Amino acid sequence: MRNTWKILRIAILTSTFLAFTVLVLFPTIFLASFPLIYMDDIKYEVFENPLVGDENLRLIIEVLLFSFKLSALTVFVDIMLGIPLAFILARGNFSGKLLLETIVTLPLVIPTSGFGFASLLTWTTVSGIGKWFSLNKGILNITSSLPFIDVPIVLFIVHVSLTLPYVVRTVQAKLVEVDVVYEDASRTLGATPLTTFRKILMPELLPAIFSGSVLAFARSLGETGATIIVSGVRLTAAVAVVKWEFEFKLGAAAFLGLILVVITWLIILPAELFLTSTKGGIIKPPSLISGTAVERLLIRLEAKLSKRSLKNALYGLCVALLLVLTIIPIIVVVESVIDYMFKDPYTGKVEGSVVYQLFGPANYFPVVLRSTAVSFISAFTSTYISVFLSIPLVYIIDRCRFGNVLRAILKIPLVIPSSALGLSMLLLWGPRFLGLLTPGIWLLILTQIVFSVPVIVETTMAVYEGSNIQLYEGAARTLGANPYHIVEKISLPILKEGIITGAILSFTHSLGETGAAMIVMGADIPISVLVVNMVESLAIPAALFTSTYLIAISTIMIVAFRIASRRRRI
Amino acid sequence: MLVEGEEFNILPALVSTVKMGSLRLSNISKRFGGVIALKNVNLEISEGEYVVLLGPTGAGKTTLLKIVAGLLKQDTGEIYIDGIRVDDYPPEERNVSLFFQNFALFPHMTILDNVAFGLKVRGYDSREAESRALEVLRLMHLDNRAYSYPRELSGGMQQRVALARTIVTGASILLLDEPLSQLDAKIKSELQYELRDFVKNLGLTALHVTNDVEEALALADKIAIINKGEVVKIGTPFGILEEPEDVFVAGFMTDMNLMEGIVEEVSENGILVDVGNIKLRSSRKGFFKRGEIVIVGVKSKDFKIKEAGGGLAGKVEDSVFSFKHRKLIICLDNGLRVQVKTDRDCFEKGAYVSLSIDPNNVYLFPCPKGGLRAAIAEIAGVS
Repeated sequence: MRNTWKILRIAILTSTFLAFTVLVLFPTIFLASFPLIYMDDIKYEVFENPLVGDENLRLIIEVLLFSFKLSALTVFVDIMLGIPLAFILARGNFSGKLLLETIVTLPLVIPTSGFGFASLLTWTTVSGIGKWFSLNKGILNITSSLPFIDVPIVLFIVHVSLTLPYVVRTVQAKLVEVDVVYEDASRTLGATPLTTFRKILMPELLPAIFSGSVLAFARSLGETGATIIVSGVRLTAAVAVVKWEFEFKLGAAAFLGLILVVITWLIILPAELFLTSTKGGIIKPPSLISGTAVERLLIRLEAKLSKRSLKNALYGLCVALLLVLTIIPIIVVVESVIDYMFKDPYTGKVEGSVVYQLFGPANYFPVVLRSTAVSFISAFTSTYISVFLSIPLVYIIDRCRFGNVLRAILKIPLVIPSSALGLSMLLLWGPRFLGLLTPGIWLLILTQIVFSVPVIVETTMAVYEGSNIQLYEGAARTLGANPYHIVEKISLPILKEGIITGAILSFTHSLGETGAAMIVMGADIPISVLVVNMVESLAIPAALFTSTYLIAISTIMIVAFRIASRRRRI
Repeated sequence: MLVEGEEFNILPALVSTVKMGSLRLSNISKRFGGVIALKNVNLEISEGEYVVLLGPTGAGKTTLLKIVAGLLKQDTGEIYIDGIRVDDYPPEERNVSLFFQNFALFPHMTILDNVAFGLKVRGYDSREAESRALEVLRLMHLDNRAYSYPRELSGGMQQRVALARTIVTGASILLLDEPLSQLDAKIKSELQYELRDFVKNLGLTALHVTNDVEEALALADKIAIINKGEVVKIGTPFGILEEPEDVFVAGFMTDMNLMEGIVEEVSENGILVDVGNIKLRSSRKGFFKRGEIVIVGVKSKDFKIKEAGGGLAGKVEDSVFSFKHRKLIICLDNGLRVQVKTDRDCFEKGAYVSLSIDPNNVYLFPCPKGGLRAAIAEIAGVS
C-alpha cells in the first residue's frame, strides 16, 4: 500500500512537472532564443536591409524610447494618485468602501480593448464628455499631446487607469499590515500627520510602493489591447510587435520582442530579489536632512499642511480622478449604445445604428456570437487545464529545493508584454520551429495557459502560506488519514478559496487579453480582439455594442471575484 | 537603580522643561457602534499625582487613555489639561505623552533616534535633540546601547527605552498603557518601583492603566476602578482595600470569599446573616433590612483556624502552597467552600478544622442584579 502511494505521488508530480515544462516553462524561456534562431532574419531586416538600411533599427529605438517615456510618466502619476487612494481604502472607515475598492480593481478584470474604446469615445468624440459640455466635438483630440514631453493625452490617461490598481493594491495591502500603533506613538510624541507619514510610514511603505510601481511599469510597457485603439498614429513597443507581425516583418518583431522581454526581466528580477531579501522589512532612506535646518523647515511646512480640510480635499480629488478615469468611460459607452441603438442620433440614419450593423447587411451579430464562443471556450479550457497544473505546482514550489526559482520564473509570463509572449508561442509551436500548430483556437488556449498558471499558482500560494496547512495535514496523518484523504478532506478545502479566486482571475484575464491573442488567434477571433477589428474598420456602433457587452461580462466576473475573495477573509 | 537622588542632578535641563500638569475629565462617553465603551467618566488628577486606572480586560481603560491622548475622539464630555479645554487639539499639540503597551518602538530607528524623535519633530536641531536623548538614556543606563535597534534589546531594556522616549519631550502628563504587562514577573516587580520613583522624581503627573491589582496597589497615589466603561470607585489603595463598597470592587481588589445570605436580624450588636444555615454576625456599618438577600464577604486572611471543636466546622479539601503562606480550601458543613490563608503548616488534606471570624471583618454588600454568580462572572471579565 505504502508503495502504491509513493508511486502515485511520484507519477503525479512528474507528469505535472513535465506538463509545466512543455506548456509554461518552455514558451517562457523560448523568448530568449529569438536571436539565435532568427539571426539571419534579424540581420536582414533590422541591420542591413538592402532597401531601407537600418531604418527598422531606428524605428525600434524610437518606439522603445516612446514606450519608456509613457510608462515612466504613467507610473509617476500612479504613485501620486495611488498612495492617497491606498490610504483611503486601508485606513478609512466609511460606507461605500467596498464599492470604491471594486472600482479600483475594475481595470484589472475589464477587457482592455473594450475599456480603451470606451475611453476613446469619452475623451475624443462628441458622444463623450464633450456632449455634457454641449461641445460639438470631444474635449480632446486623439493627437493632443502633453506639452514638452510629447505624450498623447488620451493614451496616457488610459495607461494610468489600467495600471493604477497595481500601485493602490500593493500599497493598501502593506498599509493594512502596518500596525497603527506606530502612527499613534509618533503623533503623541509631537509629530504632525504629514511628518508621521514621512518619518514613520514611508520606510515601511517604500518596498510596497516600489514593487507596485515595477508591476505598473511592466504592465504599461506591455499593454496592447487599449493602446492599439487609443494610440492613433503613435506606436508603442508592444503594439509595434503586433503590427510588424501582421506586416510579416517577423525579424524586426522578434528583435523588438526580445528587447522588451530582456528589459522586463532586467527590471523585474532584480526587483524581486531585492524585495525578497527585504521581505517584511523596511527600507531606511538615507537621512540626509534629519535634524538639519532643512528638516526643521520641512517640519514647519508639514505642520501647516497637516490640516484636516487639506487632507479631505486631497482624498476627494483622488477619488474624483479615479471615478473620471474608470467609471465615466463605462457610463459613456453604455449611454452611447442606447443612443445608437436604433438610429444614429446625429444624422438620424438607420444605417448608423447598432441594430442595423448587427443584423443588417453587415451582419455582425453572428460574428459577435462566434467570437463569444471562441473566447469562452478558450478561456474555460485554459483555466480548467491550468487549475489541474497549478495545484500540484504549489506543492512542488513549497517542498522542492528549487521551488523559489520556479516561483520567480512563474512571474515572467505575468509581466512580459503579452504581444511578445504571443509571438514566442507562434514561433515555438508554429511552422517555423516545432511545426505542430498553426494559429487558431488551440494555440490561443496554449497561450492562455502560459499566463493562467502563474495567476492561479500565486493566489493559491497566498492562501497556502497563510494557512499553516502542513500542521493540519500532519494532524490528519496522526489521526490515520491516508494521502488521498488528506488531499481530499484537508488540503483542497483549505486551498479552495485561493484556487477559485485564481480561476476567476485567470478566466477574466484570458477573456480580456488582446496582445497575444491577436498574434496567435488565426481565424478564431476572440471577442476582445473583435473590438479592435471593429474600431479599425470603423464599425463604431458594432464596436459600441461589443464593448458594452464585454464590460457587462467583466462586471459579472468582478462580482463573482468579490464574493469568492470575501469569503476567504472569514 | 534610579533611587539615588544625585543622579537627577545631571539632568537639570530635562527637569526644568517638565511642567506640572493637571488633568480633568468631565463626563466622557464613547461608544463603538452599539457597544458602550465609556459612560460618563469623571476623573480629576492634580499636578504630580500618580493615578492608576484599574479594571478587568475590556473595561474601557485603553480607550480612555487614547481619548486623553487625542488618538480617539470622545462622543461627549470635555478634557481639560492645566485648565485648558483640549478637545479639539490634535495629539501632537496636547503636551501629553503616551507609553504604549507593546512599547511601539519604531523598528527602523536606532534607540537614540527613537528617543530623539519627539524632539526632532518638534523642531530641535539634531545635535541638541541627540544630546538630550543621550542624557535620558544615560539616566536609564542605556547610553551604551544608543546605536542598537529595538529588536536587539531585551524586554526590560525596551521598556526603559520606551519610557525614555515618552518623557524626553518634557510633556507634563504621562499616560501609561499597561507599561509592565510585557515583562516577566521578576523584572516587573523590580521595574515598577523604578518607574514610580522616576515619575515622582521628575514631578510628572501620571495616569497608569493596568488590570493587575498588586501593581495598582504598589504604585498608586489614587486608584480609580473602572468596570464596563464606568468609574465605579476612586480612592487611595488603603481606603479601597479597607472599605470596598460593592461586590465588584471587593471581588476584584481582594481575595474575599463571597457568599450569598439572608439578613435574619438587624440589631445594635450588628447584623446577623444566614449563609446556608450558618449564622454570621457582622458589626460593620450598613443599611440592610430583615429578609434582604446580601452578599457576605470575608477575606481569606481574616479566618482564624484551629483544630476541630466549636465555631464553623469544616474539612480541608485541598492545600496549596504559595510564597509566604499556605492557602487551604475548606469545605464547610453546609457544603460551602471557602479559602483560608494561614501561616501554620499543620493542616493536612482531609483534616477537620474549625473557623472563627471577628464580626468586624465580616463585610456585607447589597446583592447585585443577577446575584452572586453574575457578580463573580463580571469580576472574572466574562460578562
